[in-house]
Amino acid sequence: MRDRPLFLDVAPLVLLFVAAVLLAIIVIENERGWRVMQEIKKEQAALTEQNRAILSKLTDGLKLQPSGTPETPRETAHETPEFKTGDDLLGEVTEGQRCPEPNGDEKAEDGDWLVTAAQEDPKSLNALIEHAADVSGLFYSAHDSLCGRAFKDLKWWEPHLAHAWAKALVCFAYPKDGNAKALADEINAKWDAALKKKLQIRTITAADAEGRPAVRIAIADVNNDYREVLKKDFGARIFTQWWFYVSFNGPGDFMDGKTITPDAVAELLEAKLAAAGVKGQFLAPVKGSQRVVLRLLGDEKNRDAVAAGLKALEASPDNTCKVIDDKSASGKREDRLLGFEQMEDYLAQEKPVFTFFLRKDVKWHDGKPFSGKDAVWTYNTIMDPRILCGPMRNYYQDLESVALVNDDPYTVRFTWFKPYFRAWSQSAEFVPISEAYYHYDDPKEFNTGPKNMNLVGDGAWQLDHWERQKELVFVRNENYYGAKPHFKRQVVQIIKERQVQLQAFEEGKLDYYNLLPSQMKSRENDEAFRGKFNVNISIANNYRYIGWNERNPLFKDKAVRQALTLLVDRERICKETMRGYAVPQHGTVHPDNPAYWKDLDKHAWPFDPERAKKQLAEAGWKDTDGDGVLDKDGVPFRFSLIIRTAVPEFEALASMVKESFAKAGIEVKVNNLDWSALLEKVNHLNFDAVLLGWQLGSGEEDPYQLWHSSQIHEKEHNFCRFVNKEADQIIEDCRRELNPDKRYAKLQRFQQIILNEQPYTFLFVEKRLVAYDNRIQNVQYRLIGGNSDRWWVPVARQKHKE
Amino acid sequence: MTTYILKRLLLMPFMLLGITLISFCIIVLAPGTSATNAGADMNAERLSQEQVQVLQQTFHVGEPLHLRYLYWVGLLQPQPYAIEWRDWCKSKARELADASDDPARHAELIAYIQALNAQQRSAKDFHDPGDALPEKWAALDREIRAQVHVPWRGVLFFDFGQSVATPSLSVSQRLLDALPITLLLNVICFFVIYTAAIPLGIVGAVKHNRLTDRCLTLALFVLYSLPSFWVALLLIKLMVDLPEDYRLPYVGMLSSGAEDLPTLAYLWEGTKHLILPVICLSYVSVASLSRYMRVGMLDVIRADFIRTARAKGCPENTVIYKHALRNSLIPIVTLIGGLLPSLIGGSLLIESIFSIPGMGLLSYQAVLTHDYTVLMANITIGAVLVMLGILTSDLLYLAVDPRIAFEKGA
Repeated sequence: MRDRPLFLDVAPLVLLFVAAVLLAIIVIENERGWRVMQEIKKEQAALTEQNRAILSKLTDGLKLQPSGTPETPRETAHETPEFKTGDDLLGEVTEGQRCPEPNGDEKAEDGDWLVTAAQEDPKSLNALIEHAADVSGLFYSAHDSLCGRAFKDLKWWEPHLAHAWAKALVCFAYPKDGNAKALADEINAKWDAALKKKLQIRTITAADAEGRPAVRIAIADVNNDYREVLKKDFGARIFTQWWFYVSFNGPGDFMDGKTITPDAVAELLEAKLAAAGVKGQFLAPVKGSQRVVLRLLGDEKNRDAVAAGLKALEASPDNTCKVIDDKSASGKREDRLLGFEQMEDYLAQEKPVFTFFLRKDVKWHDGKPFSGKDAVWTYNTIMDPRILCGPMRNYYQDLESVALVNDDPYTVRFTWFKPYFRAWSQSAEFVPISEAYYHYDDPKEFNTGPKNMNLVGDGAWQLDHWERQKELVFVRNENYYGAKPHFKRQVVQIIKERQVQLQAFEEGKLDYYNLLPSQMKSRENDEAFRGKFNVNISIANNYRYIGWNERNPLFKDKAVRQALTLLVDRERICKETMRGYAVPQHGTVHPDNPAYWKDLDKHAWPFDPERAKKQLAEAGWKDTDGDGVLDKDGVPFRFSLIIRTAVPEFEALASMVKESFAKAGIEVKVNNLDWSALLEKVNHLNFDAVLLGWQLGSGEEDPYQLWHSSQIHEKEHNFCRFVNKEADQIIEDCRRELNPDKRYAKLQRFQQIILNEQPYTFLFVEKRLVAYDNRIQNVQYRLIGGNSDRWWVPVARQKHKE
Repeated sequence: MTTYILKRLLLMPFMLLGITLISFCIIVLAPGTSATNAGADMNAERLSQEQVQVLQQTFHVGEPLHLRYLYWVGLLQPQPYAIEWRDWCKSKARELADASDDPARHAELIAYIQALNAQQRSAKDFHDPGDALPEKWAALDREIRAQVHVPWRGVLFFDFGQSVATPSLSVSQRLLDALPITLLLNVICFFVIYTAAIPLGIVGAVKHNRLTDRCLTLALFVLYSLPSFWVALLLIKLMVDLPEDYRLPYVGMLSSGAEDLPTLAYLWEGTKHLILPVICLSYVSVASLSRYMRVGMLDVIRADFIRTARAKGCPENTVIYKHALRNSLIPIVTLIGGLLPSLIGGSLLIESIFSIPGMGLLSYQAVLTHDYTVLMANITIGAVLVMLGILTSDLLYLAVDPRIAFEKGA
């Protein structure tokens, strides 16, 4: 190969050399640029420090000036509100107090970072739009509510954005003769001062409500004791109001192609009732996004006619519409249009009214001041039907208005249009967002606009930066008005796999981690592990159950459902599949909830296969053909249980249940489905039995969604079709009963019904298994979660020093 | 030859249409819910008519399936959205104002922009906000609208729409974020695979049936049969057990704060993050590719011309590296075409274990969240690449082996 020119042999070497030189030059240049950047950064930091010093000198000077000093916000923040306008809805103004129990961080030292992990990025940082459980906790720390439950005592309300509040109830009764003035005078004359004081009544006047003369009763607290007295003394002279709740399907079109809107549904109802010959005085219908409330004034004959008319309408074959359905080729699907949910009767329409007095020293993270206008704007935004915040709007659908009082930007009033026992907690936990930052012209801008990639709140944590798929970093809000957290920085790393998260935690890269029962079991007594980490085990706020779909004839008989519960060994499930990190559960109320029926444990169904077999035999289920499976009228006892896939605990649980049922002659086919497929089956009521859990809220639960007979349709939550007249009545009564003790008494009976009916086989309440780096102090967990804002690290052990 | 390539290229659009139509139907109709479908989580309220209108604008919810597909392709064009009209009109007016020398005209255009700004709050209609403008702007509005260039929507015009799961981002944006990462990772893997597999194959062939070959074969078969996600988890476990100085990072592409490191340290930091994923992504391919190489080499070594070369007294090295190697590379070279799609597609499991925000993780999340626009974009790109890859390897056969011809008379 001598004939080859020399050049070609050398060329690659030359090229390689040139490339190496170029690379070196690039690296060196880059390095120089980097040094310059570092110097600039240092200078910037020094300058900021100087600025801060100058600023603090300036403000100090301002404070020393004796006259003409502008009022500093902090001093006015706690000024007690005075209303000379004769506002009878203020009742007793409560100045908010922090819960006196010590937080345990009195000796805390500030500093260090808290590094945690999440499996996925949030979809957006807009607190009204995003609901993903993985990161939603961070929104709570970036935004503040008006008031909040004390960590140490859930009954205690602590002031946040509001420093004081007043509760009241305003009632409107319509006299039959239309002479409100006379009736008001008569009531005033009949009820003496002592009675009024007992009932906490402030004023009784004649007023104009919705264009009709009415007697207006203002009560200084959310106290409905007046009901009985009014009924006894003046019931005969006042119209009873009958409220008919009619839900409608959607979104979609009527059969004639017109779109379904609340207005159209209300019109349709009125037309149909008129056509059916129902006469009577109606108040204007109340239109919500999923239901219309018809309000009838008057006699029982009309009431029965309306109820019969609505029932006929619900049952009629024309009760169909075309709803939008992604999964059908035409994009629409036929479904039922109207549902008559329930009827309520009122002597007077009762409106709970809550007035909040806001702090004047609160600033949004971008430095703009916070005021009640933001709260009003937030309410209007939630109610804007074009905004994609469905779950939140659902909570506030009975909230009639949020408005400023006397145009004072620091006094906000929440008025609910009907009595609801959760009205107070939902008003107090209202989270305003910044109008200045989030305001929108077009809903698309708010729903999906680029602003949602950033976050402007008013809470203790402020967004530093968010790098998608990598990390979400919050820094402490140094201008926070309340108790600042002790960590300087909170980092959420996005790590997709739970297993990798655990490795990172054990390596010391993450500061805390929620363990699975199997992971906890092998580590709880491991000295190497316990030497580095502390463990906190507390009871979680949820329960798991197997739901029996009563549409399936197998589960129609309550004796059968009881027998199925008798076959489930909950003690063993807790001990074996949950490794001891669970507590058996027997009802729908969490054991730590004040409404819990204390004797439930004593009356709970035990694990007793013999009794179950006997009960099944009595119900007619016997193995007549000798194939080992029970049968009745030729139908074998065979069904499928759907569970969520990829959770080893559930799979073990399902096979344990399957085995136990098999011994009693019941054949179970376990079906593993991924979460969204499982939800679709449940939403469309297409299942025999399902293993699921409920995550509970921080306050008292409203059983309506889970157990009321009106909630049995597609995409509603009573998917097991539990229908019980007495239970319905209790649920309806409880929702409007504002006295907690009376409510608990009613709920006790409700729990007895559930226990007897066994619509679910309740399984267990899980425990929250938290392991955390042992440099962190004061870690406490309670039902509602952890007190991470009060955690701290001694200076000597701090990992990240800035 | 040209006719052959043209024929292949002309067939592609039809094949693509078929592939996308079938995948679109399967993805949209698959069980499970997406953000566009109410009830995605248990607490969701049903969508209101207004929300549906918003969703109809972006995802055509509630339309028949075939229309949705046509919208997606771009054969049907949706009505522009009010805010879009306004923005286009505003920017067009601003453009005209900047270009005009006439101060009266300039003032008029600025006033028009302000009128548009003022009118925004009351704009209720989703399609045409211009009607809500004061009468005196009507003429100017018409004039400007005529000049506005309405962008074409749909895949035909390289617009993949909005992501369903993160509606604030367009699909193209998400793809562009993920693509460079996967590309970097896979190009490195590509080099690692070829540099490791070729020598291993040569050794195997040269030492055919001797102890070295047998050990190598065993080792490669063991490697080939280890599932990569399991190896990945084992490697991570190993890292945790190692002393701190020897650990390699296993989360993401860079640690936080890496931006502030000096250049060399920065590069080293990036390299460290790449080591574990590259190992996991490449070892299986190394094992299989070296087998191909070994077989190819064995075929050639037994050929007559090699015996001739040996006979004429060529040194063994020349025989192997010059005569045998070149000829045995043919199957290996043609495999490059098949690697093209995997370069872009990324690995689902490895990327999610190492939290690498590449194309694989993107597809995985899209599957979990039923993000059909992102999935469809991935499938379309994948389909195009597979088709191009097959074409490339066919052409490579042609290029490296003159004995093969696809056309009569060639």
